[in-house]
Amino acid sequence: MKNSIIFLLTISLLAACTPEPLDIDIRQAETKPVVATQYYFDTITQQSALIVTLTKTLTATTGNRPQIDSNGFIVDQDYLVANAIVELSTSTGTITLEEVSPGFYYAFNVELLDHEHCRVNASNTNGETIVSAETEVMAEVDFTSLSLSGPSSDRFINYTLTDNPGTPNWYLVNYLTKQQKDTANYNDPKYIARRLTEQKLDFDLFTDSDFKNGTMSVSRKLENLQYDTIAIAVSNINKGYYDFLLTQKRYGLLVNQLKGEVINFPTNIKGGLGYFQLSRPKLRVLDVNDR
Amino acid sequence: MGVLRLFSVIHPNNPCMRSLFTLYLFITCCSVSAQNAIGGYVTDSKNGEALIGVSVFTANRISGTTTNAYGFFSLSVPSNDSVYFQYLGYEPQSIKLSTAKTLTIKLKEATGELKEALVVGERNEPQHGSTHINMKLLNSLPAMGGERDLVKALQLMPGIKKGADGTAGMLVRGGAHDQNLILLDDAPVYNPSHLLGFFSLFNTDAINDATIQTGGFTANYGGRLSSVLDIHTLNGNMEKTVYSGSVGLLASRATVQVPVFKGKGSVMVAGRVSYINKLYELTGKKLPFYFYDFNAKINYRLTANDRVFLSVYDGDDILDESESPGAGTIRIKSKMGNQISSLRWNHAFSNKKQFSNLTLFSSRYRYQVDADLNESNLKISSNITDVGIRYGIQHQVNNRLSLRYGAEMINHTFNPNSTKMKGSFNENIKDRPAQVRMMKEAALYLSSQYNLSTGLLLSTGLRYSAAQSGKAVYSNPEPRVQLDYRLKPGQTVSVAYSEMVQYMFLLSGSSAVLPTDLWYGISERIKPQHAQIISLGYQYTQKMITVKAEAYYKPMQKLVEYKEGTIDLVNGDIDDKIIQGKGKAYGFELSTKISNGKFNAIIGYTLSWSNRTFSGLNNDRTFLARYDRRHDISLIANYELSKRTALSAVWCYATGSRFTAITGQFMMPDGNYTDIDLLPLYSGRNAIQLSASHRLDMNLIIKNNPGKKYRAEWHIGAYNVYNQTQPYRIKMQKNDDGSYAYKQVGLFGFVPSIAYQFTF
Repeated sequence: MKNSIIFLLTISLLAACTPEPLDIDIRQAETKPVVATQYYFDTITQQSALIVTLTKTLTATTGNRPQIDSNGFIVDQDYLVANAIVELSTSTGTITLEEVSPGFYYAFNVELLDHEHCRVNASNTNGETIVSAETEVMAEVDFTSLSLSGPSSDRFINYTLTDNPGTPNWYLVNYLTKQQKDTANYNDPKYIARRLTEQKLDFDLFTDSDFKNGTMSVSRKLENLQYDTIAIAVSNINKGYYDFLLTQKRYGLLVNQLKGEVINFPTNIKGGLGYFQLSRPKLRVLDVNDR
Repeated sequence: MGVLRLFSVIHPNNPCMRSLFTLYLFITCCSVSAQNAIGGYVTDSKNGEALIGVSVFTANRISGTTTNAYGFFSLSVPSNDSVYFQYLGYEPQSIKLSTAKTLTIKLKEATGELKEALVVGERNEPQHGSTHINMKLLNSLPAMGGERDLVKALQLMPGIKKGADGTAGMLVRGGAHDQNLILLDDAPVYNPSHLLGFFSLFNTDAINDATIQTGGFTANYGGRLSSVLDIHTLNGNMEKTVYSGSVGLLASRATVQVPVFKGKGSVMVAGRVSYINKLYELTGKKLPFYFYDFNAKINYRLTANDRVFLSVYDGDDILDESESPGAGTIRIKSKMGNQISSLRWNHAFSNKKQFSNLTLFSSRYRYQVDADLNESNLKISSNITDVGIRYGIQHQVNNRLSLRYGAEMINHTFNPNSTKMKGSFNENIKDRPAQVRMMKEAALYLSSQYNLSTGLLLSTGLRYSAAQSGKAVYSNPEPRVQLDYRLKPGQTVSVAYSEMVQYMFLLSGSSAVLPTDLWYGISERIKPQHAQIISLGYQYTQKMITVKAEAYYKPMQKLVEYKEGTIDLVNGDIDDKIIQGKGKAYGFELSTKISNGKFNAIIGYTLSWSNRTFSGLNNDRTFLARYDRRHDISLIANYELSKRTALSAVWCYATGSRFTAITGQFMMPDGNYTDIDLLPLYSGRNAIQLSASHRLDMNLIIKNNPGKKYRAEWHIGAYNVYNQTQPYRIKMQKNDDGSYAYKQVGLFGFVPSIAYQFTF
């Protein structure tokens, strides 16, 4: 009797079917231009560069990640806003950025002043504005102290930051590794583009609440070091860009993609997406083997 | 101290409390002096089980009442008059009274059980928005895997919707999962599901009666916005020892009822266990998930007027999974379940007009995850524990006026996600000690039912509730009123207004409701949720047909959602992750019941809307709720083929539920400018609608000779007979060219079932 029941139950289970998934046509988001900007400044060479990338949104059903060539430029031109006229207006005038590769706009040695108001405008060849955005240049900040510690197999980078009292501040600290021979050469846009393939470590975001009595000390383990040099940079960024980066960093966590809530990324771009910001990172370079 | 603060808001000096007491005095003073009062219990003649909702009325049918949740009634009757008792599925009975005394009326079950073999039956009670579930007749419905389910039967009612396919969650009149107060023998149930919601908590063999209110709420219930499901377990057979059970495709169950204490009491013990994990092993597949549960109840008649009940429920879902992905063996053991108990004392006052019930209860829901990876161990646990007391009196002042008043107090203890780690399980997980948070909830209520004139019944009530958590104290009056008017015999029109307040909520993500979701309470920042519901009903009853139509409008305030972009749903300051907004639900419900001897049917239709508006979600624009479903249809039919066989079928259709889809991507450099991230672009919140779902379920019942002591039934059936996909989520499927396509995935297709049930 018992065996008969188990037999019947098993047969019933085996007879169960899984229904075929149904198609569904979901209207894709309207294509929009996307703006990203980065300002580079090398403390040693006093060279600076401004990069503005103009890309387009993709459909959600696009399968492959955009391919990047050996120079660090995006290959598929369908993803890029090419032949645009990109201008940066500062308190000292307006400059037109050079399109060094489709969608990749560059200017060398752009001088930015603390707290000046800047505007970026991208227009087509007919002079019609595609996107525009405005921001304030954030004041430069520096590390109060910076050092390495620990044996070569277990290296830590230690630094202290001092908060500017009386005003709310947001900070971005970048960690990169590179070879010593690979010195900054910001008048070569390919050098900057290649950074896209450079080994990254990580970045941290801080707010005033992370500081105690105006100072904050961080000791961070350096993992996966493949090169002999550490580049560390600190930038004072605005709240909008802080929120954007925080959201971007959190979205990368698998747990969010499985169970997290809907994320709508903040933007300050009129007519598009992305974020226009002009922070001036203070870059320091350390030899991993220095004691 | 907290208790004192809490009770200060329900002090008589409070204006709302003064109104409540004034109302009570007014109604009591207006009452007419009584005639001869009779009172007593109505039970099943076979097993002594209390019969709930039995119509009790005098010969002229002008005076009448119904039995309460313990089978008790009280009625004023002229001397030597007759009293009639009538109940669905039982032979009517009448008695002639000579002296007033406590009565015990034993009703005999009508022969030919299948004549009325429909699950959802209306009792002779005036409240619209309230439905009684006949558990004896639930048995005839098709059931997935042969495991019949109370909540899935409720999902077939107009106004009640299911969540994902096959799950046992309830969404009532545009509300969320956590807006339903579920009481098991007067104790709250916090997770009414087993196996991620595919079975409900309730062993139907152990249930005597269930009633659901979806509108026109009575004042003795509160604490939730959308519905009250009040379930009473079997008291246990008072006459003889009875064994019953069932062996099904997914689970088996057994129940024993034993009279004890020389006929003064009884014991009921019921257990259930699933073995789908073992069956999967036989087919070479792996599903390391099973559940068990256990119900027990002891009842003892202290005197003719006093009775005590002790009820216990314990059940767990167990996951035990080992994987060896290469970097050692991961073993995850998870246990989640409810532990519920209640001790109740019924007392019928000697004047036969008053009946009191005192309940002490506790309810605990907890989950634990224990994960081992090599030498490392991670333990995560959460729980909510309630301890409470309720005292209520039903007072039949006279045949025109009845009162119900009482008080309740509950102490909630929340302990969300404490984490303990040994070794280096994962650097992102940190130890998090238990962060216990307490909330006290109290309420006083008074309600009345007053027959203004023949055919005109006014039901009023005021519930005054309060809650305190830390420094936050909130109190709210919750008025309830309903007017029922009998237009002519067989036709009733009703209008009702209720206000409800909810002081706690379930923290669920917008994409899914999971057993690991946490219950949480109000704080200084998180305010109580409110709802008001206005409903208008019409009922037409003739010999073979009952038509019921109801329209409702329900605005809701201070609803709770996670903020956009919330990543870590449980750790950190929960108050910071939450925003509050408003919602609105409205709709029309229609049900038609046809009873024609061997053939019975119910047709239900719901047309409804449910939306939400939150500052901070969907760019502040109003959006449709996830389970907004415009149309919902259910057809239930049962046909008695012969005395030993019956065939039943259920067909249901529902407009697809809603979700938020990723409809685009954009490239941005990461914070180091050394990589490109692809970031998502979402559709509007819940802007995408899944395809409609529909399915047909069937069940054939074959009985042995009904007259035999050993009674057995084979239930042979199938879920989703035509194997229709019931979409419950979207997945991205990769095409040959590397691009992706959206696909709607269903959980269950055609699932045959066979179950063997027995009683002796």
